[in-house]
Amino acid sequence: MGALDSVILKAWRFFKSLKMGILLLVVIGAVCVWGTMGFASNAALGNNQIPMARKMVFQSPWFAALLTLFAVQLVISTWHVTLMSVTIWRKKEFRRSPSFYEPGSSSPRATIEGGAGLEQLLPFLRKRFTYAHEEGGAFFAQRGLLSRLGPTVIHFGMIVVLASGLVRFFMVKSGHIVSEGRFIAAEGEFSNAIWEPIDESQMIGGRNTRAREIPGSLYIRVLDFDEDQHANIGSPKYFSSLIEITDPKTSQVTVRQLDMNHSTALSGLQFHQAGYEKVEDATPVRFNFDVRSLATGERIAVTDASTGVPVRIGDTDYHIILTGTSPGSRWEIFHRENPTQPHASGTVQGGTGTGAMEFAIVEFFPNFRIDPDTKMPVNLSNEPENPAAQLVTYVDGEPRSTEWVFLSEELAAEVPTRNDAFRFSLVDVQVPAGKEDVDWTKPGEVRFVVEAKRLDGKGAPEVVPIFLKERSRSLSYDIKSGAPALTGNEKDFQVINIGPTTRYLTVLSVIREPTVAYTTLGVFIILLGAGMTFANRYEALYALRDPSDGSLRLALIPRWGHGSLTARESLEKILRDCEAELGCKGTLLASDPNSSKASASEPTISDPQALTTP
Amino acid sequence: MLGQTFTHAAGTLSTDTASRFSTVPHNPEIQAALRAHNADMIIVMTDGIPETLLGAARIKLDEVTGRTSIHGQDPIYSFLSMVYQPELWWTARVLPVEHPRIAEILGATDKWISPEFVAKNPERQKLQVAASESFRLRDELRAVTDRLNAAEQVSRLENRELALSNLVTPTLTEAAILELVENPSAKNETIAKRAELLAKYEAEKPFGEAVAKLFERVNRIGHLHEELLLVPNPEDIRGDWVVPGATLLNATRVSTAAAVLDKTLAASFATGSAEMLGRAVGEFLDAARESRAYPSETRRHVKNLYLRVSPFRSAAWVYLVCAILYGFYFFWDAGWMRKLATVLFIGGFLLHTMAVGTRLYLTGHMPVSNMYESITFVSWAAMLMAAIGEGFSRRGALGLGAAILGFLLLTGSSFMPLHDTRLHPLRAVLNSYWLNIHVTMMLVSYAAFGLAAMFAGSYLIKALLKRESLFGSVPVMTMQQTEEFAYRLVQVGWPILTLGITLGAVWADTAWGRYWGWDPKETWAFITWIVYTIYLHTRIVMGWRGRLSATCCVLGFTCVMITWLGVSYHPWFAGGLHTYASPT
Repeated sequence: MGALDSVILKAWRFFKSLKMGILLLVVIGAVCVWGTMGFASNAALGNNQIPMARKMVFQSPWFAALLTLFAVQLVISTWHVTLMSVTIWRKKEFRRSPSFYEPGSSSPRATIEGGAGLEQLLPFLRKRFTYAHEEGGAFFAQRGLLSRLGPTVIHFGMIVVLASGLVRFFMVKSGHIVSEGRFIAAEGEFSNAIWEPIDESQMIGGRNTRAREIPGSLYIRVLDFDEDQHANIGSPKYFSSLIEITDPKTSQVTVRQLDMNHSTALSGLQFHQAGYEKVEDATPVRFNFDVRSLATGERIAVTDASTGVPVRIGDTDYHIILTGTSPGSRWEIFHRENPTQPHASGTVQGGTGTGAMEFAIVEFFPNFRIDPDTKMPVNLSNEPENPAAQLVTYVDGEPRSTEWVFLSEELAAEVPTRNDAFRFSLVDVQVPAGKEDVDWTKPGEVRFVVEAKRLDGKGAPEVVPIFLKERSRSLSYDIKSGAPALTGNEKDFQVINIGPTTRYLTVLSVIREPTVAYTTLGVFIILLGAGMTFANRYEALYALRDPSDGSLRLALIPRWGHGSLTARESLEKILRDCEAELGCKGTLLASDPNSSKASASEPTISDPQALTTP
Repeated sequence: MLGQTFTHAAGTLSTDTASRFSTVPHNPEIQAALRAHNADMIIVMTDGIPETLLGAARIKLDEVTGRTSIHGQDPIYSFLSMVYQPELWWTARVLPVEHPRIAEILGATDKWISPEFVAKNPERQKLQVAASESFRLRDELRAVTDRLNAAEQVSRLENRELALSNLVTPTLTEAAILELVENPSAKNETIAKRAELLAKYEAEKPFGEAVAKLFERVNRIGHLHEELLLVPNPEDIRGDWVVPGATLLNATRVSTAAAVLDKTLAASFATGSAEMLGRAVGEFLDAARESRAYPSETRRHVKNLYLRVSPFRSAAWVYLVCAILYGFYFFWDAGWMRKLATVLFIGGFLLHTMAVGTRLYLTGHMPVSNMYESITFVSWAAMLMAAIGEGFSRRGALGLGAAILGFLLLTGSSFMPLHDTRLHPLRAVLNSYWLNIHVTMMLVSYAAFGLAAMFAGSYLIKALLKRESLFGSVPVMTMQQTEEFAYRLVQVGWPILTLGITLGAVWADTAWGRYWGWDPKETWAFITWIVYTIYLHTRIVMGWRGRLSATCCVLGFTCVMITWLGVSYHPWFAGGLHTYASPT
């Protein structure tokens, strides 16, 4: 039984020792290396790297158990140091052994010659240290107590973070936490669903999604998505979503803006901007509106909007609501502080063109001629002697123009001739390789290569291959408005439709993390501890009066975080002040680099008893 | 005439510089006029950054010819000459032959060839076919890798059906994936095939890339006018700039002046006369002042100064000289050498500070947004710490360590092709004040750990060689002091790292709605923190000293390197949300 007790005692001593803490840190570090290189950085796992790493390692029960063990060990192993730290102001430690005052390797030592002035040593020390005490010719003074307490506070913060993580782990397992659900909706749309992965070890997406109601039965409407791009290269500079969150239980409506670096929290949910996509073939179409100052004609902002959705005008305090998006529709502008009474209203003015165009080749004549009698185009033969294609352009899905384009250089023309966003020309007609009898009228047989050139001359022309009677993809860019005619009660504003624009689909990540407050608290405590650690410098001064000649021996022990150099300077300053105020000359003793005194006699954290009140 | 010179040169393929120079258009009058009338203050929108003409010219020349200056010509002149008289450059031997097989196939014996030599070369087709082999290998390798990766995922993921449904593509069938999952020998064969393909591809890749680059250069040389984006367009929503002469719905004074400048430049290069050039440049710059999009004159001056001085490179050379002087000081124990080295070190550090400060001024954020900037910033922080430490210790050891580190990091970052030294628009995700706080703190801690690792490393070498001094016979620092220095530097770095990681977690919460996501970069930062925490606790509390402690310090820096560079570069560690910390 005694042997068993001894083994248990040894095990307990080992468990509460720093060695165990180091061992646990090594194991946690090794697990992290394995979790990263085996999963999170394993290219073979494709997009599933991080979900796999989380499921198999970082959010697994055994890893949670390992962190729990570490937290418990941290509490136990630092318990006595913590107690010492939190009672640091009560510390009265007198060193009476002369050997303690022999020069050591790191902390400085000094002597002060005896004299009458030394009678005032205690008041002298009290002016310079937070606490100073004397007992039978031995002195103890300390300062920089915040610094001494800092590491303990950091340890406590770590324990709070670890405890929060543990609570989170159990809440995830019991389904109380929504972890990274996705809310997806296009501008102007609303939804009460978020998407979650079916299998959490796989990346959300594809078939690995299932819908669930947003916790709290909230409805979210995407009022606007804004993407600001870098000039000329088009990469995103900034993107944000303006969302309207409706709580059906209370009928409370909240509008929040979030961007790629600012999430928002509401009703216990955290929303952050996870991504976005451009919507192809968007319905309803969104339009860009150029909002200008009525007085000066200068642009205030360009904003995109669809019918009935309030959109803020740039950085102003105003928002705009449109009853329709086409030229002639009504617009109303409201001030933020008076959202029911329109500040100004008017009619949407049209620009000089529109950005989105499509085209189709509806007819092809291999040998085009104009009939001299009817003045109509005719096809003379099936030999491609003068190939010509009839090209129809569409704006907003409506036919805009029907004109002929020619392959021959003499007749080559750019259509449409009116002032639209693009000009098209025929640059090639391609027939299937090796086919002798080409059916020029059969869709899918002959391919036409059309060059689309931007009217503003910017950017390289696009080459669009297309088959007969096929509609091209939409070609668009933002074009500018001419000066509008003004009507209505505009007051300060004029609003011009400058063409359709891209409609975006915003992807928000929705997380419900009840433990986030505790993690925040832990992080705050860690930061507080770090601040305390570096707020000042802990120093303990020990002194002993030699009864034979009245001289004083001194030792300044810095906290572990500070070097012997700074401690030496501190002691030098004390000696200088002592000479100036008390008239006693002091001498700093040369340090002995080979001395083993430092580790033997200087108090360290490993020797906590030496630091506690005797 | 130039064509004849080229024909002759192509025939003899002389490597003589003078002969090569004769094939390059050169007009001292225009060059002098451009310089005299401050053409370098013109702004050209280049890859999303408003660059001065000097910067833009260097970038374009580098992209087209692989160097920033041609035969000592002013880069602005060379670039504008390429824009306005491309036909003359068509015959100039300005394209580098970057792979010996290109020279072999095209029959070039010089390392520089002309665009015409490539375009009209009868072996051009052969070169394309040969290069296409690397692309074929790449596609084949990708297909095999995708198949193997898909099989790996299907075998490791719990929900196999779901995984399969997400992995199947038109080119990768379910049967092909399952064959590897269920048949180990087929999997082994595919792994062997991938290894074989990888080896072949790695061998072919440099050739394929060199050929692709060569053809791109040939194609670009006639189209540089399209890249001359001189005119800010106030009407454009995105703020795009356009080429001179482009149709604007509302012409501005700048656009009009740009059109005039464009025509004047064309005429000057055509006639060889720079008579009207000065006035056109002056009027354009005068008009540009009215544009809100145009950077201020101070900003343009600073940018040009930065380009001309190349302070990072200059600082690197100063650090090299400084390290040599410190080395001599250790050998001969000559105090004046240490003093001279210290003066040089301060000079180098000031240049370095100027470079970092300039980038901060030009971009408006701490220069830590890409790998080049982070390396130059880490080296700057290390120099700052070393300067402070050297001010106290006056031993020269910190100065030597820092000078070597500074030289290696600055030359490595400036000359490694992996790094892009240019300014780039800030990525959206980094557009936050947290960049200045979190990333800066992390990099400052890396600097302290880098210096600490140098001291710990030198301690280990001394211990291995059983010598108190690495240089000369007189030890400048004892082994104990060397190790102590490493410890002090870790004491500086560790709290900063702790704060950096914690504040990074706060940024992650703000941006991604959670503190910690076990992303590879996050995890490796945590591993680094663990190693240094162990180092400090074992040293302070358990009294570890010497080899064990120094080894732990070096191990910690290995983790720093993985966190900092490995996660961005090496496929073993790469991946996750921090991919913006990429080389460029």
